[in-house]
Amino acid sequence: MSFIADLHIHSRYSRAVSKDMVPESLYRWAQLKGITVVGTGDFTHPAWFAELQEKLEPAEQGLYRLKPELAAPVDAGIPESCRADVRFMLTSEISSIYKRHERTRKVHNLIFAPSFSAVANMTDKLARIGNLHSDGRPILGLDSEELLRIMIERVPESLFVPAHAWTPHFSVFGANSGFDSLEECFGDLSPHIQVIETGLSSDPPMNWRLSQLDGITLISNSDAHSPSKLGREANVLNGDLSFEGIKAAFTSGDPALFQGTIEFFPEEGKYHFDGHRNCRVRMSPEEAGAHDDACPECGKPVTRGVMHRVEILADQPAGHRARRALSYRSLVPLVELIAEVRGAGVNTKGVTEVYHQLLASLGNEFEILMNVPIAAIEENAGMLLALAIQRMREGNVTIAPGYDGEYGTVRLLSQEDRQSHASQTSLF
Amino acid sequence: MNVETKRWLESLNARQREAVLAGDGPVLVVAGPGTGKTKTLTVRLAYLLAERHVAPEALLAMTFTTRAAREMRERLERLIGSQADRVFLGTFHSFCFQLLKAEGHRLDLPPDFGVADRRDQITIMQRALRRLDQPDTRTATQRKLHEVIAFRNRQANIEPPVDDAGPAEIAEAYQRQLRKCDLLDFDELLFLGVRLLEGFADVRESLRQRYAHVLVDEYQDVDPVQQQLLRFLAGDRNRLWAVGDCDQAIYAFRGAESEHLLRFEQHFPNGRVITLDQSYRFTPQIATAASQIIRRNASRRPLTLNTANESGSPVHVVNFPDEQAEAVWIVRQIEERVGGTSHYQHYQGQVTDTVSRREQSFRDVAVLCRLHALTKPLQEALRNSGIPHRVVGEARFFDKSIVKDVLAYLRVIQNPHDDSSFAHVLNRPPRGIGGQTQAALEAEAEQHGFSLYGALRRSVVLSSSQMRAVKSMITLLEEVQRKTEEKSLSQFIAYVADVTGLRQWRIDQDPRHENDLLLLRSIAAKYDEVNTATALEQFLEEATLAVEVDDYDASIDAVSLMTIHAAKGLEFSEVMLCGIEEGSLPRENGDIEEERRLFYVALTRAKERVWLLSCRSRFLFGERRDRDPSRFLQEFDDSLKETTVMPDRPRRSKPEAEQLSLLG
Repeated sequence: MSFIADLHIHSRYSRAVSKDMVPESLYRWAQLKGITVVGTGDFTHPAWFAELQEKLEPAEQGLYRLKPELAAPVDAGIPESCRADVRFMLTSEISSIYKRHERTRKVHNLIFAPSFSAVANMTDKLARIGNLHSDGRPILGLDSEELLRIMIERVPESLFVPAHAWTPHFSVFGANSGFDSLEECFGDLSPHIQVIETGLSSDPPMNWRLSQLDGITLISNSDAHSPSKLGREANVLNGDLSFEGIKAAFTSGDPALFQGTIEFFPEEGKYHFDGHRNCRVRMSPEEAGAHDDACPECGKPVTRGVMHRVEILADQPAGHRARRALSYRSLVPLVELIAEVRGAGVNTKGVTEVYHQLLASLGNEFEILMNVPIAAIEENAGMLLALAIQRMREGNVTIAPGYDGEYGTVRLLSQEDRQSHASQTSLF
Repeated sequence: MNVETKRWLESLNARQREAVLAGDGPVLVVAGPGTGKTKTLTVRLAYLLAERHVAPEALLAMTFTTRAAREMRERLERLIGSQADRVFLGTFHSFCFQLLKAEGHRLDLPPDFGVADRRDQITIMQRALRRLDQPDTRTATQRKLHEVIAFRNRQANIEPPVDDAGPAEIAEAYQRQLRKCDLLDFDELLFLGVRLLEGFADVRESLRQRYAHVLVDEYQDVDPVQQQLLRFLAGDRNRLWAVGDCDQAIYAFRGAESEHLLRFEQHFPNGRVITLDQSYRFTPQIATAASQIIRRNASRRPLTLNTANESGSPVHVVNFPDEQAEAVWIVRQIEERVGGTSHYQHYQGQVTDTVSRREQSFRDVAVLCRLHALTKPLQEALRNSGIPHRVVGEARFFDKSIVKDVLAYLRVIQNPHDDSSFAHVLNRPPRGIGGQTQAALEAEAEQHGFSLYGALRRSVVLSSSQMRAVKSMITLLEEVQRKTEEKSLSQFIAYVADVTGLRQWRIDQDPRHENDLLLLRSIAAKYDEVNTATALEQFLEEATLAVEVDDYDASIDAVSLMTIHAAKGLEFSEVMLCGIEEGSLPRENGDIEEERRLFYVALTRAKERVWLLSCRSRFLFGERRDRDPSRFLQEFDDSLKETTVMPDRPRRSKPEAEQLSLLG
């Protein structure tokens, strides 16, 4: 049976994260989204770790579930159509800021661990290196290679994954912070890197253009800072529902175990293009090149986006398929689609109401976005949303790409669409 | 001349070369900060080996820290290979240790004597005090230990004599107890080393025969005992080659005398003095400012730092309304140095594009203070920011108060007869059993040969209310002990901290104790899968050994926070000096020249940029005071500095007051 996993999220103990990121909310929203395995995030944080130990209990090998007495009241508020089992995997992100080869590097890495005791074994060491209290995603002055070495020595059964590998300021390939190759970053230990997370601003075809990533499995996660952002990227797995099963699916990249990823349209990510946010300047890699990577408004260097960075490191033409290429689907979050149809903001009350009504009648969000027949959507939500979802499924979208920390904006409907469907009655 | 040697010599400047090639001695090399002192000393050693064919065993090089010794040995190995292993290159203490191992039998030292660390010293002093029927609480013990150390130093002429007789009796009892355990303390290594050389001409003579050359690093920091040792070793052959800088002498309070450096020519009429003033460390701005400042000292040797380095930024002088503003500014500044520590800062526009391209990491930045106490608000701000930092000299995790409390409880639960742990928990949280009662209890226990735990039930010294408190505590501990197997170790720790009232008591003192407790639990959680009695045993063993482990790891990239004294001999790209205020630097009633040297040492730790920070008001030692910027800030040219005065914070109460008056 296939299931969906989103393993990179943050708890309320991380900076700029919703207070609502608690185990109960994760449990609730995983069901609304259609996620079976959700990462706990932030396992290095002592208070969060204590909370997890208190609220979770062991389920399948290496996975945990919310204790039944805590789950029951949450279940009561979840529509029948969405109710499902949810498992937690112990995961964490660590920000390494350090000097290597005479340059300052800022790299975020993920660690997935199979048990509380494995986590304790890891944090025991990390607590001696840095401050784990002030942020759920701690900053350590620890070389990524050393972090990997500690993990291999202490808890070899864990999995190490460079996070959002292309983001300019904080990643292994980042334009302003990273390296040109995994070897440069991880040295002799680079064979232990078998999996990387692509991040919102890149999709698999962009990564396939680097032959150095040929043997690497690409995974996707939401990096959610609030519960409703869960699953905006995720992994569709087919193997065993267990830590070992998921790890094997990732490290082997075997399509029988790992069907592929659910992606953002990469243009929607906030570092897809080059640009300078303060001057509202957005540029394609070619345009930036024509301006010597300087902002035409103020002359300051632009922040180089993921697209440009990929092109610099790519040694294969666009369209090349890697050996380990898996299938993937690009989706737009349902609230954004509803918001576009209604011409309202994503956080408005009306949009939220419609969202929950749809979930109640059609099932979880991934079902609606990927599987529910268009006719059924039209029946429940009207022509325009059905059209938007159909276009999204076909990849027929218009996007103003994100740049320098600014999200891209997606459009699925034109003025004509609205006019021709203006008269219909529906939820909207 | 051998090709290799030629290459080394060519890498030196003229003065450095002169110092390396100097004849047998005595030679004094006066070396300003960043002028290649370590390099010169190392090449001197290599030159003596390679060109003068001195045997490696005939070379003796003394340093003050193991860090310096290690660095020199690494360099020497790069120059001459494995011969370096046979050169004695170590601290005064390690030299004496080896000497006493070989010849200590002449002073009736046991061959397998050990060296007492700080913890051993306390335990031993406690025993000595008990023998003398004196109070042996921790504070009393520490005070007596200080007194005894000072007393011995006075006897050895390291510290000036005082009128009263001093704690001779205690010193003797302490010594006896040390010897009973076959231990020497740190200072004794030197005293006994000197006594050996003084008393045994044959030992002295054979060492003089053996060491053809005696080299000394940081000569300005040599104290009278060390000076005596050097005299015995170098003897009349005068083969002394010393390097030092009187401007960096900041250990007068420990008895160091830069006198022998200042009066070198008087002590050694045939001596030669070579001055290194070409500095490779810093920008001309820093070199000039430092030279202008130190020139005002009278007791020094003339030395003006030169540098051919590229011109850099001016010395930044920044004045803040108070220490909170200073701390916030430092944190923000460090975040900028590394180009931001989170995406959030990038979105908030807190990081400017230009700075984010700089190539600084945390290790390139140091924050230096006169006193640890000055760094408290900054430590708090750094902790909250999540910036990796290391407070040099800070208590280690297993030494933190709540952690020690919990560990003591666990030890008592494991073995109620563990007296020192029992004594630790007895009044934590307070149970109305003060220091005196505790001492009486301990005496009672010793008299009857009971453990403290055994003595408690039968005690006659406790009042009835104390007895009640003790009884309920013992009942509680027995109850807790029975519950051991019902919980995993990490749960058990939480349970112990809760039921004993320890957690609440500590958190009321400082909420940060909660974090330490959580961290302790997460460390313990790795034993959660074994049965709790075994887990407890393994965990306590780990915690005990961890005290001995050096947690300092130089491979960790972190901002350093330390006192100026601790920073001596180090260098950083960027240095922020906090509390450059009258009362802190210079401190009140301090010897102004020593204070100025301290400032000079601090300033010359910076290679590229230095910030001199002061506050107009500072909360320190329990009170808020207005502060004036240090006079030292006026002691270098305005053209070298860039001054910023941060405005007072907007007073929040003001608009309210205005509103009130409008209503009125």
